[in-house]
Amino acid sequence: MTVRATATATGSSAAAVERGGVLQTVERFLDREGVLGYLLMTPALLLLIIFIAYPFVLGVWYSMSDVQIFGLGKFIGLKNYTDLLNSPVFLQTVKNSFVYTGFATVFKLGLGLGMALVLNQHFPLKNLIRSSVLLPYIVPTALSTLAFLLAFNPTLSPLPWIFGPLHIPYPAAGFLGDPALAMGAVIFVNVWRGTPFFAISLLAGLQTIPQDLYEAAAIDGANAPNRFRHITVPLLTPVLTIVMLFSIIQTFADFQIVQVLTRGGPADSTHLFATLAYQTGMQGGRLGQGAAVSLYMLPFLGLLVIAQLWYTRRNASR
Amino acid sequence: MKSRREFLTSALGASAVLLSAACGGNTQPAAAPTAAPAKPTTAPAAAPTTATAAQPTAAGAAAAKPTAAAAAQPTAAPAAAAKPTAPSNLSGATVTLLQWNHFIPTADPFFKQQAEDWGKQTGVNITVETINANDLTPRFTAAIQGQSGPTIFQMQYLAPHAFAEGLYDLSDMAKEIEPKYGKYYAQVNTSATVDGKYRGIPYNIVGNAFVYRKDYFTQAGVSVPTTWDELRAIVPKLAAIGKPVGQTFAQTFGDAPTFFYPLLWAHGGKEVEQDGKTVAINSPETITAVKFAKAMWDEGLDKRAASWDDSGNNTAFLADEISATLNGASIYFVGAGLDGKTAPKPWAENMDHFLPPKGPSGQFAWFLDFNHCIPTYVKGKDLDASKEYLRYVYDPKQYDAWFELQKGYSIGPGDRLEQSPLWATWPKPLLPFKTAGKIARALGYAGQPTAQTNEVFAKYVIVNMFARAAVQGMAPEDSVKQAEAEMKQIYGA
Repeated sequence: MTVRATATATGSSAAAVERGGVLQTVERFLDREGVLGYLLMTPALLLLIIFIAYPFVLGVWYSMSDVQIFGLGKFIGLKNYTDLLNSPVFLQTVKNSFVYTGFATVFKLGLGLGMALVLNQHFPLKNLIRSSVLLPYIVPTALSTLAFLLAFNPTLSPLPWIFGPLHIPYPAAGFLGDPALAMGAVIFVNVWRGTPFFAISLLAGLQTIPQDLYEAAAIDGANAPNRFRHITVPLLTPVLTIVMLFSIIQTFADFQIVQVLTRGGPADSTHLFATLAYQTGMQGGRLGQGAAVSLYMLPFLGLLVIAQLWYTRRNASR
Repeated sequence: MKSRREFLTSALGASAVLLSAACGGNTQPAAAPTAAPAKPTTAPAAAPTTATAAQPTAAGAAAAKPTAAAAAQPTAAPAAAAKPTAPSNLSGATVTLLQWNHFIPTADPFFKQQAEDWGKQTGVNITVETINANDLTPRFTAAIQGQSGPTIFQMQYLAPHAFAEGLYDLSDMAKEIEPKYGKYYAQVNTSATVDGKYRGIPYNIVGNAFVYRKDYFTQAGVSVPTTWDELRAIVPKLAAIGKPVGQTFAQTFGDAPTFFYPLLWAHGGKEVEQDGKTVAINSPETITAVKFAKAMWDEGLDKRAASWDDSGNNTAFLADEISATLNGASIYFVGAGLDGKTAPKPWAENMDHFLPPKGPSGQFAWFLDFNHCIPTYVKGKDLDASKEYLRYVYDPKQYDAWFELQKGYSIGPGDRLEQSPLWATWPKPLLPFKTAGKIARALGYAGQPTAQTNEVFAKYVIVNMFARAAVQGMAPEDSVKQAEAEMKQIYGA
């Protein structure tokens, strides 16, 4: 018994030593920063490959293929892209996207800045009101847009009851039946939803500006507009630039608001790149051309991203 | 260092679990979730029938009698349904059916109850998912592309043509089922068959007719139009009494195309030549049709309809704001309180229907039709169960109860149900729907429908051709030219 027990003990201690050796090797291996760094990066890299790189590469392939709904299709070069240039609906969509993004961004910037300046003052229930301002931004877009869909509903809309007593003529076809008004309506909803993002981001920027600068300027006789122009604007510009770039990227690639409110109508007059891509690829069954519509956004968005990165790095290096 | 290793171990373990979960989506469960014994095919076919046939009773005592009549109808179907074609044990299989939100409020719960009954009988996990009809096609596309999703698609119009490559050939089943319904109507038959193969099983047709208010017609001094010109003539008169005709010009799946395609054909317009490939939309006849629609719009159609979806005219008519509109029988159904739950409108007796009128080239109609399709990614037991479920749905005992519930809103895929004694028990205004299936023409005239025909429809090219001219004021010739450009791109000309 004793001999056997000793032998067992010896065997297990040898195994333990062997295991310890393996563990030590692994430990040494993992202690190398180069190895550990890559290992820690792997999950993020996998996520990027699976959810960003793979769909992107597949999208590029689709855009250069004749794929319809099934399979991968045949390579047809740039035909999808050149065909789109002959499509009146696509050309209208390009115009719509710039109009939508331009107007929405200008309004969001103006209103957001104004709101940030107001929220930066001291008043009762300041924190509650600041939090409430974010509500339109945090409510799921599709959900809030459904509420607007009801508000703009040609039959059930409550708006005529508001417009009537105010003697404002209500459009006969409602807000979603006329091309210009429908574009105005989707821009309005985008502004309603996106202004809080500007307001809160700019408020954060405003709060980083030292108060003593304003006090010193006031002592030197600068009035409010001058303080705004010579202190607020220059010091807020970095935040403003980044927020605007983010907003332009998001607005340009917007989908939900238009899809829920107008589905690109009336008569394709409110289509954006994303909704036309959806209609072409997912509803029309021409995935290749749908992908090409989407990828037409790439040069513009790419330029914006480059501008954003350049600006961020320039500021970081200062 | 130790904490790093622990972190890595946990992270790798979690990744492995996530990956295995992500990759295991298509695997069948190792064991059947229930211990239900094998059932003969006859059991699921017969047993739920009793339950479902009794259901319409809840809708009102009046509805109960026809149910019995329908169930008692002598058909060869029960015997056919009893064929031992199904696998002996479907228990544990999964069937998921994706279909539209029905416009008859009671239809979906009834249909789902039938499915649930069948699921209980067979041990199959069955789900019926209903979504907005405008969103169906994108869901089908995503499912076919991702090779995962519903096991049965209830497709509308020409969708089987667009998805043909990803759908099973169900010719055997379609031919097995056809004798139960009479020869399939041409439109639904054309929708289901691609190159001579049934990619879907014809299911039903929802006829569209103009629902109108007799009292407002009398007040305006107009009578029921039999031609498009007469229809145009009554538009300003009804607008003058504040109860206009409502017709959507928006990008929506049903009420817009079912109005504009027949209007186009009635004026002699056609989408393509007989070869089905050469785009022929830009013709004097099409321009005449577009000018006609624009004139109707300008002369008094309800302007709010520019952005109506398919429910827009239902809302306006039931709110007593318009006098006539093209629609399925759903407006009448709700307005007359036929579901037994909604109170009839005070003016219910004044409702009636008339079919799309004649034009210089004849009288045409195009209706909403449905097919059931099975995507090719469905395999094994799920495939067997999906087919068996469809046999159950198409068993006249189930089908007729569902048909009865809708009181003519939906008609069968063939002419058998034209002979149903139920028609005699239903309100007279529903009669125009009885034979609606016979006058419908398939899209893609003057050729045969193809995937491109479906794409033209899905992108609202024809609807928008009319809308641009009427609502947006574009010259009809230019609007037709734009439609031609879009179509040529789609047809690859």
